[in-house]
Amino acid sequence: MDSKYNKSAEQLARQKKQRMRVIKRRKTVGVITTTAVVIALSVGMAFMALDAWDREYDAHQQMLAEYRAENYRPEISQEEKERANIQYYEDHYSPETIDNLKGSIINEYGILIDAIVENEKLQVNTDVEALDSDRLDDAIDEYGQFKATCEKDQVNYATASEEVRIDKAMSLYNSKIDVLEDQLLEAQQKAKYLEPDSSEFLENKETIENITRKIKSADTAIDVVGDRMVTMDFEKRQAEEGKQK
Amino acid sequence: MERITKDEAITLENNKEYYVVEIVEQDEKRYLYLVNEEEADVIVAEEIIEGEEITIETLDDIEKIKEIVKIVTERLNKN
Repeated sequence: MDSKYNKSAEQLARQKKQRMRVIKRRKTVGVITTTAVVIALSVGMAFMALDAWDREYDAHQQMLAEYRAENYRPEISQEEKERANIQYYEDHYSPETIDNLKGSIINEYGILIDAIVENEKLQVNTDVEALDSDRLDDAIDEYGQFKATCEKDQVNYATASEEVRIDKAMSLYNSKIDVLEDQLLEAQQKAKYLEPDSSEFLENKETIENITRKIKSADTAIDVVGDRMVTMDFEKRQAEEGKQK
Repeated sequence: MERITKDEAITLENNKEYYVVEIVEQDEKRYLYLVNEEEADVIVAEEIIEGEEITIETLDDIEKIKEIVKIVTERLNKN
């Protein structure tokens, strides 16, 4: 999403109550301009994305605050804080994930998601790309889905069997694909309002290509999961037959 | 006084012109989704008619803003 739309969305979220007189009115020629409609749609979508981000961020902050409330002492030192922070992740995430959890919140989310995706054998983020804002959005999205799945099913991912993890990977894939397909549809609809070859049109085209690429990556990854399931079934049958003999 | 409609552009006392992209009517109130092209600025406001004067009052209730934005974005996406 263009940064000017993000900025407008943030302004809209911070809007204050203010009364203003309408000093002039004019009829447009039947329809509002395409540019105005595109701005309206883009700012609206950026605003809703902002809202979703805030909810995920708030949920994460609340989880941290709850953990701190249970484990922190008022006189705690910086070193103790750092140790408690590490403890928090040890309590909540797998050892592989903890190894990677370092640095800023961007790194925290990005690496956490990479680790989760790796754990689930759902390698959506296969590219070695910078942690740009799009990737952060994806990471937060996946993080939210993962957290919701864990909370709903009370699964301990660090100790769950491969079968359980694959099952969860399938759920994660399904919800991720739904989101990507929605995003693709939105971008395709937005394209209808844009002037061909304008900068916004080209940017939107790039967005469509990126989403399509992610869907393909996810499809490929889920094929890997599917193959693994077939192998597991085969191994299970072999083991059963071995027992009978 | 004629109410504001979707097919017009209004100039506010800050001298900025806004297109009325959508109107959402709820609980006997009319909420306007206004777009200023020059600054890619969007505001959500309630239309208020007092005698011969029309004013708009921008909303500061974030939940109401979310509700209106969601409705408007869905309508625009359908077109």
